[in-house]
Amino acid sequence: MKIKTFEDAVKRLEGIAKQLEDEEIEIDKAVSLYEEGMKLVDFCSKKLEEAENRIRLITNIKDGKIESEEFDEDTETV
Amino acid sequence: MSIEIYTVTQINRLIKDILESNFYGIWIEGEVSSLRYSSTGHLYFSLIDSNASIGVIIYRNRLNNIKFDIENGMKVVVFGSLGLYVKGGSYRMVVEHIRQSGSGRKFYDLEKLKREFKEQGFFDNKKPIPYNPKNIILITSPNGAAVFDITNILNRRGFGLNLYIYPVVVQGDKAEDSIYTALCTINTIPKHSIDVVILARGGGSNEDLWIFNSPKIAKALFDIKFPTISAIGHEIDYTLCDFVADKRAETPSAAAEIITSSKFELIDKIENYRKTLNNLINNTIRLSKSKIEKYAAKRYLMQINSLINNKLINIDVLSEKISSKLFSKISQENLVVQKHLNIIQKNSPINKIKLTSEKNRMLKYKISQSIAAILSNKTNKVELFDYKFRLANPKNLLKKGYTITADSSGKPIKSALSIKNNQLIKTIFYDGEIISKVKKSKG
Repeated sequence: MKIKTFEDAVKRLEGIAKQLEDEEIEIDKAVSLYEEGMKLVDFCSKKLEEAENRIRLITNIKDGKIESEEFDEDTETV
Repeated sequence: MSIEIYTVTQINRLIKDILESNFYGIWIEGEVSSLRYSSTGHLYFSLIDSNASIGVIIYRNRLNNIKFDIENGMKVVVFGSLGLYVKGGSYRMVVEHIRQSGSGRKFYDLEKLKREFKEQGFFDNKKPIPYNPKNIILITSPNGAAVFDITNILNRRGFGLNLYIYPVVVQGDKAEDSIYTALCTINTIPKHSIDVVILARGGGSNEDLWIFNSPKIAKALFDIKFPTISAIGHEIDYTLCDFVADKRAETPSAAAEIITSSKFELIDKIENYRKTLNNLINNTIRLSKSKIEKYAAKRYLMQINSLINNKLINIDVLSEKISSKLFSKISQENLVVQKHLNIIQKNSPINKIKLTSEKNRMLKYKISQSIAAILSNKTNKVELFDYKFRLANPKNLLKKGYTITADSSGKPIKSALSIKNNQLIKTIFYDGEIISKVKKSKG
């Protein structure tokens, strides 16, 4: 399963944590789950650090699609 | 049947409860009378109409929000709750807002509108605000304080957000249509594209914010398929839109915080996952280790034992080799040492000392023997002399019957010729002496 979004990563982490809580888990599986989990943790941390916000000014909404331009706070509009 | 008798306090408390739980958030219209400020700064007056009067209090902290001077005779509408003062048993209207009667009408109408909206269910069916929303539409003036406050907080707290600003006019004649159109247009966007819609305006006077009491806007807001947040004016300002929106934020900044409150939580959450995973894997490893140790212990011990035994045998062999070599080496060394010892002993000064000492001893013995001989010889001689001497002792002759004749002074008389007649002479015997007078000498 390819994780693309932060939310998916968190969901997967929850699942991994649950599986690791099972004391009967095989060590190979535990280690591979742990490695996967750590990758996800790094992925999430990176997302949190890097993901910038995009602030756009809507210029039009046509057929349910937003058309927008970069928002510049100093620009006088309307 | 027993009669219940209240104390005065009990009945006043009871009435207070009934009063305060039933008459809150009410509007009363009347004329100001008997206006006075207390020493503590609160404003007291009576509201009167043609038939009745009710006491009113506006607390000092509320007075700051009132933008006009209240005067006796002024027609006003007040908003607040009834409260009872238990000690005096009197009740008053505790006022939170006060308007002059002209605008008072407007508020009255608004309250009526709110009631109608409520009855029609416009305040119900709140959609939950999604956790960590990504795609947000902000309906506001792009030049207002609200957009600045919101973007500021989003940039500080949010991450990976898409904020779309829908520019509207929030003041004046065009505002209602502008906002209404915005809401209707936004509703054409497919549901999954947008997570939350914020309708915001910065603080202003009641007149400024009044547009958000528009039933047209409120209904359009209610119809929005996306979760909505109203963020209009300040904490104290409540508009119809605030009641209709799925969530009311007290200010635009608060709205931004509501949708981004998750970032720090998320950072914590992710860090907690890191810790949890570490703990869990450590635990799993520990458990596995103990299992392995348990199953392998016997085998391991056996291996160790055989290993140790082998080593022990090696050690024995080695130790034997070492000791035999060591023994022969020591024996050789011993021989050499013994040889040297013999030489040393031969040449040892002890022998000489012993020899000399023996000679000395012999010498000493001889000397002492010689001396003894000499002494014994001398002794014999002395004894002989003693014997002879004793034989020569005149006293011994006296015992044999000899006597010694001496003159009266004791001097021996050796010749009869020296004795004169009538001389006194002394005759010495061995056991005494006699003195006699010479009668006749024959010499």
